[in-house]
Amino acid sequence: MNKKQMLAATLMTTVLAIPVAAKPVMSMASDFYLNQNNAQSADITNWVANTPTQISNNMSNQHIDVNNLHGTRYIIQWGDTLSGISAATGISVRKLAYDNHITNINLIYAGDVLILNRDGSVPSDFNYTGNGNNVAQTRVTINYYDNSTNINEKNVTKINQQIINNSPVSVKDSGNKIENNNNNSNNVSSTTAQYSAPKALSVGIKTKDNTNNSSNSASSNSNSKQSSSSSVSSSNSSKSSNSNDSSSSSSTSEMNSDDFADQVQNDVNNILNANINFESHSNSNNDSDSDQQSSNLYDNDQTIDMKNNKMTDATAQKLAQKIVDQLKNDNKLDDLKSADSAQISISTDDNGFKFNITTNKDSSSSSDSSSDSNSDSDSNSDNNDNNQNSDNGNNNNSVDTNNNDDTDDNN
Amino acid sequence: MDKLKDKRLWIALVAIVIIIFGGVYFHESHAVASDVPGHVYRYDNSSNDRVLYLAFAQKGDHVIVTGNKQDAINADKNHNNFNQAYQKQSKDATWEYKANGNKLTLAKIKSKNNISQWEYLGILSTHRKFVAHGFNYQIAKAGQGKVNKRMVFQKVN
Repeated sequence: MNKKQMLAATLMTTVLAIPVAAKPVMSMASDFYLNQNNAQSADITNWVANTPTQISNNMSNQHIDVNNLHGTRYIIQWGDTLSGISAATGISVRKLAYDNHITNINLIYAGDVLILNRDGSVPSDFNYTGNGNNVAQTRVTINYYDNSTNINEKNVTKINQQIINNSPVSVKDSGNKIENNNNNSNNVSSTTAQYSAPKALSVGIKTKDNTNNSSNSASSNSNSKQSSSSSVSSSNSSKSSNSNDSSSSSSTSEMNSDDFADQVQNDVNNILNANINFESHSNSNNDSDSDQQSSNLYDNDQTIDMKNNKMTDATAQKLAQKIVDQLKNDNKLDDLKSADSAQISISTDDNGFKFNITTNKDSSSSSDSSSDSNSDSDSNSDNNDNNQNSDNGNNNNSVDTNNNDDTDDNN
Repeated sequence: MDKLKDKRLWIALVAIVIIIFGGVYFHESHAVASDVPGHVYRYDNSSNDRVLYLAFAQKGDHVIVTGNKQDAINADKNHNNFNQAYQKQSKDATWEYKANGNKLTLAKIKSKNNISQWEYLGILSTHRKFVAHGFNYQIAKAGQGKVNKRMVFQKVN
């Protein structure tokens, strides 16, 4: 065999071997959700941070030797936090973030693969946001079914029939619509999208939301951390299926102006497939950060002509679409997306609606992230630093361009 | 005559048993609100691979939710310890609870737009433990639904 043939054979073998080599990792990550029923996925323990000891045990279960980490792959488990993983491995949060292309360290997903590598250094200009104390999120939407019992149509609890009526939470806000009351009104239905996973995949639990999703998105997500553009469509399908469920009950009922404005904001996010940090109108005590610089996108309120100016769900959706169209035409979409937070003010008009958008930019956000970064230079002090700086992570919403639709998880 | 007496006796016995068991059941299904304050409970997840400790405040709706047993027990020792532990926990998320009738709801509040709740249903509570027969959940950025599964919360302290 001459050199040319040898080279060709080697190349062919490499090309063929890549998908085979990559497959085990992907399938392991995908299996994470496949092997769980709803009772396991929705369990409260999944939303409480693991201690470093628990994370070390998880690593032992995956046959990972924490003393020998040179590109080792760890499948993130429920309850894991990046700061906890850092404490368990001794690798700094900064190094973990850099090696795994994570720019928002509050946003990791259970089932994803994390590369653990003691070798190498982190460039000084590498920045990230967050404090690493947020528990791993889910990539699948955990809705509808109780898989621990036999499923038949009668046993199915649909999302818009679900309500928690013994809630300790007394706030009524646009995000959750959980009220501290004992009535059985269906106050969850209009905001079901809030209870969808940010990037629902078809890798796990039997949920109606997931049945339409493509398996491609699963593999791309599990493989390329935090940068999965292919999963956007699955997220859409999840959201739209939810809103279909709820449309019958909420699309025709009129809302108050605050709820309507909040609904428009939610719809703008849905249309843009983004997660712009909109401030709720229903809470008059919005925390205004003194470091924030506010400005209006338009000098004057903009008029949107609409025949129907009743404040319903359907109108909110149409209005949101028109607002998005106008922002695109006026090239102001990027200004909105790059804001740390924003609020759409809406008022009714004889011809329809008027709107303007206030954007807030945190002048101290860059210093937050850099101070976090600096604090991570010593791997042993990461955890303490992160705990001390935990408040900083709350305002780091806009750095990760790959994660526009997930930045709200900081809060 | 004797037969009638026997019959009456049996009816009385059955009635007494029903009253006793009914009373116990009624008490247990309404006791969680009075049983949990000031105590620590241990909860094993459905796969029995993760443990949670819940330290309920003596008064109010605060609860400390942690995977660390010692943290929970320390918090339960006195009011100051509890407040300190609660403050520390609240840096990441605030936990509150509400117990009413045979229900207990735990809420994790990260922000006004990020609230997750687990409402445990059909609770029977004794002085050693309480048992729920399922739960409703609404988890921010995750989903909502109902799980029909027996779950046990063992009193630790």
